[in-house]
Amino acid sequence: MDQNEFFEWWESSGQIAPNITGIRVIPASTGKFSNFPITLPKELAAVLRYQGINSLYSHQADSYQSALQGENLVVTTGTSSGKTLCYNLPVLSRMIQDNNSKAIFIFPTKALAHDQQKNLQEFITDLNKIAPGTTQNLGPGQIAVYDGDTSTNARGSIRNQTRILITNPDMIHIGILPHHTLWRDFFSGLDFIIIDEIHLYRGVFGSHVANIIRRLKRIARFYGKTPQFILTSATIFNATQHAEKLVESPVKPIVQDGSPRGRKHFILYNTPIINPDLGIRRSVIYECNVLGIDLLQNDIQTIVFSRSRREVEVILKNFLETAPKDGDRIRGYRAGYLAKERREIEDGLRSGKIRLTVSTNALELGIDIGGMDAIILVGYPGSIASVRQQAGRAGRRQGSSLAIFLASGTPLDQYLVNHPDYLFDRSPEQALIDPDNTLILLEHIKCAAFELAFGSKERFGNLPLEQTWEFLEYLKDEGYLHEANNRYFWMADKYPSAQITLRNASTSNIILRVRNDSQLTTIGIVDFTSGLWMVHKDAVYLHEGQQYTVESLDLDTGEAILKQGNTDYYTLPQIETNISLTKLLDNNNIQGGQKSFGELLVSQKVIGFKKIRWETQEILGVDPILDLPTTELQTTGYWFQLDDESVDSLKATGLWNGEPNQYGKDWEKIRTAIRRRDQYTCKSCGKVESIKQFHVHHRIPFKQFPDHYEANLYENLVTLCPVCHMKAESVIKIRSGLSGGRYALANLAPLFLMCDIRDLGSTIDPRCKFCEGQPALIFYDQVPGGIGLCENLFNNHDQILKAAQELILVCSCKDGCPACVGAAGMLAEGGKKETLALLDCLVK
Amino acid sequence: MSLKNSLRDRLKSLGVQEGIKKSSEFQDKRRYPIEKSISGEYLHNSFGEVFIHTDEFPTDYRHGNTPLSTPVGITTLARWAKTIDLEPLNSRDLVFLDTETTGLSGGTGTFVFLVGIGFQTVEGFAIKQFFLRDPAEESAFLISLEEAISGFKGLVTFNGKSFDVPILKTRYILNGFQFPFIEMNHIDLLPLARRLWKYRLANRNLGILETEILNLERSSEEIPGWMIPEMYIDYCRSGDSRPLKGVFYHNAMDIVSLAGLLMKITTLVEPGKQDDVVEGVDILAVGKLYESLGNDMEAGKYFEAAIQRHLEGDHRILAKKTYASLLKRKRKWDLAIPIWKELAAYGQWDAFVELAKYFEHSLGAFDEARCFAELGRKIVEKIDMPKVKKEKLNMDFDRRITRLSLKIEKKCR
Repeated sequence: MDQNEFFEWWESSGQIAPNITGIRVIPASTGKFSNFPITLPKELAAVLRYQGINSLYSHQADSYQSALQGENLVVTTGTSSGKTLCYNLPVLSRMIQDNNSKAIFIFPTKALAHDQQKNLQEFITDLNKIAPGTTQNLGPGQIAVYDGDTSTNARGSIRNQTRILITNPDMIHIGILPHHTLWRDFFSGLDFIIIDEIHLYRGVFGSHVANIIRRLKRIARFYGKTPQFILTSATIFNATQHAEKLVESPVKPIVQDGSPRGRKHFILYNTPIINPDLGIRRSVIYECNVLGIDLLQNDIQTIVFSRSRREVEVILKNFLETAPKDGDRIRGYRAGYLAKERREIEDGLRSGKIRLTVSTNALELGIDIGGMDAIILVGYPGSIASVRQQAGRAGRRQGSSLAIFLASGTPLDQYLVNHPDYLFDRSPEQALIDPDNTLILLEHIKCAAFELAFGSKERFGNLPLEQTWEFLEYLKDEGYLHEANNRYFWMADKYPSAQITLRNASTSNIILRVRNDSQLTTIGIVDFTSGLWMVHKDAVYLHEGQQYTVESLDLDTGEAILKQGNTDYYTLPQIETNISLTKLLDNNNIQGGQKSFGELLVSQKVIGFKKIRWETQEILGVDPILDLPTTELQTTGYWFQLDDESVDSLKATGLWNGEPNQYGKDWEKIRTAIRRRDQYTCKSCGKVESIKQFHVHHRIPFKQFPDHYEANLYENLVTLCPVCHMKAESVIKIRSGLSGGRYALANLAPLFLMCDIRDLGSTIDPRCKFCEGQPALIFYDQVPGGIGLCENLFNNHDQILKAAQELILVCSCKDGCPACVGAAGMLAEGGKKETLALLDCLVK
Repeated sequence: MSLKNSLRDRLKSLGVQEGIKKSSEFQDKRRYPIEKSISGEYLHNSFGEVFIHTDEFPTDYRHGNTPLSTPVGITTLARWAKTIDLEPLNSRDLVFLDTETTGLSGGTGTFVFLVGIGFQTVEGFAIKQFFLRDPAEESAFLISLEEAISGFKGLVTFNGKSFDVPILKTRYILNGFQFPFIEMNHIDLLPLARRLWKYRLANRNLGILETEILNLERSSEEIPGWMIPEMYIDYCRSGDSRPLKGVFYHNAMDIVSLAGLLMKITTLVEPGKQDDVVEGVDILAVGKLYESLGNDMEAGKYFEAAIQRHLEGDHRILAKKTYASLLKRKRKWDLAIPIWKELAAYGQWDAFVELAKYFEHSLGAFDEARCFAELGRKIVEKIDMPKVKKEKLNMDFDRRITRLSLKIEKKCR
């Protein structure tokens, strides 16, 4: 049975078939090949042949030809379609012809940078072996990684000798540009700038990167160079447009993928219902275990993509327990593992030694691991683009492959698994940036002025002259710049690039050490902020499927000491988020209420943790944590509140469900009676009540009844243990108008602001403290100090609310979907009409 | 101006509070050009003009306790700095240089606004200070500096290798020039001063060296270094040059102190003058300098002289150890053995190791050798030191003792 027959047999087997809600078969493609272009230096052709490559894929040849003509390119072909050669060939070809030619390669992660360095060094070694004397000063030593880990000693020789500099945007911003004179020789030969995975440079971070590129081009120009760009991107809606906005030059798209592809089955798989009465589904972790082990036993090389680091470990632990004999063929992969460990896993994936891997999206990026036989996506990773990227890891040049979307019980996953078109056909998200954001510009114009004096007729990137001048004059007035002879000179004892946070990631780390006898072994590393909730004292931490308990966490030394050992529980941190108003900057009356703009303090604190039994998911206890610091985000926010009149009118139409339920004064009596009727037994899992009382659940949600008498009728009530109750509630949860409004606006706002959805935080509060206790919808910039996103929302309040209203009205779904107010649970209500009613109150 | 205001308003509404100092706070625009505050003249070149202040110190001038203008040989110094070309020359071929900048963090946004150079003349010692009147005149400023130093053979700075020279290089590149200092022989006195006075000065910055080595106090005109960037930046905004007087003074003092320091050092390291050196520890330091230059003969003389002086505990032991290991290298056992024995009497375990080695390998006296090794091991037992190091030493001693015991046994049989 070949792989294709196996997949077809497997999909139709009695155990699998009933759970499949959709199949899409992507036919095989034989690929489109090209001979080596005649312009390709014969030495490079020789190396390719030596490496077993006798022709190029059409997109590689297209890229080479176009690059040769001096065009900027963006290559958007699929995962593992050999994009690397699309830029390596033109760059190396130029270097062979010109001994002074240099290139910068920009990668988003250190892992990718080192992967690429190794790749290029091998290529160069082969070149020098096969065609010695082809190039001068281009050996493996001239291909250097320059990042935060590069030692001070190595930096000098890197600056003087490097031909291909592999780095990241952060390093260019803070380490290279402000010291560009040290890089004079390098810049004087800079012909190519390669930027890999540009879809990651979106939102606020992408806007920073666009400005870093403006600065880079400006400095290159100073040394007489106009470098050519070759970019790559995952499939996104607007790759070319995004590329052109990022580099501010025309960019030619290379779209036609010439690499051959085997046939691919993409199936949507729903977790089976185990309690039809309450609509409770089997846990996604359990189901994943069944599928993963089944594929492993059929020798199908598989990667499971999970949404969180914890889930990776839980799934891995299950795999290892189910198939202990296969322990050395099953691995986890995620942030927090040591680099060495990761390299080893990547090698194991390439060689095929590792058969089953559980990973976060860390393996979604372009690290070369070869194609897999199968991919399982455990739940929706958050974007269509991610679904494509992850599913794209499945696929061989020949032979079939399989991608499975495994839906959890959440409303979103349930919607997707039941609407195959949404996942299969919806175009992936856009990458949006706003390089001309006032605050971002202000910071980067400072940096640029530090790097090189501005001429009074100079534009910063594509920013109009008038606007550039406006910033320069402002900075002059504020005492940063000195103007003389039509030039603006940096004149302040400051290092401006050090004052910008490019990414909202903490830079410090916590090292995880395990005590064995008297020795400490480092097993992993987590960033500071995650460390607070992942490795607090007494937390159960999972690493490579092994269980550890944290003995101590020392934030000063950045070290957590762990002890290996199994506990019958895991821990779940309780995080308290609090938003308070620091300073009101503006506020206006609006239709139906009030809108405001001001400085907010968003603080988060780990206040305790739950111990949860592995087997039963029951809560064994809650322990407080008192000594962890609060993480604070001081930022700017925009919020609007409803006035009493609006709330009353919504209540009158029965479309207000922002209130907590009033179960009636006899509720306690009714509860006791129901539990006695059900013999103190959970009617879903059959567990019997012990110390803690079980819950009493409304089959049809309380909110759907006009009063508590009808809702509390005995036939609508059932006893459930807390775990089953939570599951049952998630199925029937009613979305309130506020929550639907938040969902719609949070998804819509990035289009107005040209930012990423993660750049904007949002929450609802039915009794907002800083809104006189009125219900409010709150947005804030996820950037310290704010970056002007919410100010923009505040100023365009009417327009954005109108757009949300229109979006929901034209959406063809019945009662909520991921494209409008959010997906509703299977038996639940999506809150579409409630949201519309709410918006009606607020929009003129 | 409406546009400008709109950006300001916009930033204000975003809660931005910028502003180091507003230029509008300065009213006296251009009322005090530099020539009204400091005497000097404008020098013209093809790029414009540059302001230069000149000062001369007559031959009998003493900087603290040091004469500045006597030409002296610089052979040892040049050898230390690995500047072979300078070895046959004297101090008249050198130019002393110090810069004042708009910041210490470096990078392309840091300007050099004042460069002081000093040199010996027939009439004494002269300094010239080149001032950047306006950042827009940097090309003229750099070109005239280049012309002024082009006649000299060597450059002397204090920390210039890490600071002054790289930052000047950046300025030349930014103005599109070749960097003139690149071929110039450079003696940076900072690492040498650190070396020479590490035994008696905990801190060896220029200020401390001035008071401790040159016996000098600066006048009330002195401006502390950390204030200087802000003073020039203020001048750029206000056009008021009066406060810069103190900066010129500071820079001039740095130059003459640099020259004074060089004079001190050349005297100190003059071969065969160990008995003229006042401080015993300085003799030790100079000896070590000679040793590092490969001049064992001179080094030996200095170590011997150092031991004659009454050095304090640690220095005395260090002097003896250093001398003994030099003697060992020269295989002068007759001189080394008594010193090791003295050191052994002070309880220095490493002296026991040396004695054990000598008795074993050179004399074949295994019994004595074992005896020294055993004594050494006992001493190590008693001393406080990191556990790992102690274990390693004990292991070495044990190995030595076992080997010696075997040799003794063999000999007996």
